[in-house]
Amino acid sequence: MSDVTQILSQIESGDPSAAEHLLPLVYDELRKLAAARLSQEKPGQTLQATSLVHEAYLRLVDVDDAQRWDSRGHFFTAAAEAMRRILVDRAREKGRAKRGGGLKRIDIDSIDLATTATPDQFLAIDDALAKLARDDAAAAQLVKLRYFAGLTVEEAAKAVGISTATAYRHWNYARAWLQRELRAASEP
Amino acid sequence: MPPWETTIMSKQSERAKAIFLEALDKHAPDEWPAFLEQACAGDAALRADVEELLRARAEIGSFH
Repeated sequence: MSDVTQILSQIESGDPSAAEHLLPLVYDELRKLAAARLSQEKPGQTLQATSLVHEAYLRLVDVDDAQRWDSRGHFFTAAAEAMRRILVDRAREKGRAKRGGGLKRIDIDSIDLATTATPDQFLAIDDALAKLARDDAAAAQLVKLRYFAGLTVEEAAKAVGISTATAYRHWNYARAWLQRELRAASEP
Repeated sequence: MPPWETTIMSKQSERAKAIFLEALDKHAPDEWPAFLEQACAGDAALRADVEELLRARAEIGSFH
């Protein structure tokens, strides 16, 4: 049984200390995958968060042992946070190299928003998301699973154990909230 | 910000969320002014909050 699969089964059996061991393992794997991906491909290549997270899942988790959605939910929650950190680091690096980012419109509905935004836009989204999390943790969590782990609203609902209808309510609110917040941030 | 202000703000954002979602789910856009009038019950800050969310939602485009 892989380390990650073992941690997932400990979390499922109610061991609260297991969850904190999950994030570093998932983070390391994703960072390695991201570095490999970026070194192989063309300059300016964006990281596809969705495919990286799914690749990490296949590499780290013994799929046969972790069929149940609640354990996948824990994995994707950790992966979303790990991917967010990787993308924040990358945006800060790129932002230092080249300030500004033009006037590209942000498509808040895009599942690859996290990777298609310019570094400045990405950091603005991340700030807005942190602000939303203080106010409405459930809505922010749903956005994280969508933007950083690439889950659909239905998958994200299963991952956190809420109904699809509730997830859509959080999602619809969150994207209007983020749109408002990002517009306010971009105005002088 | 003192902690009680955060609490008040959180309550307002919770109410704004509920009213925003109800406006979208149960009312056509031309009914929104009357619905907001009734739902916000004279709370101008709350109403402005919901109106901004509805405007932001219109900017995003199609629902779902």
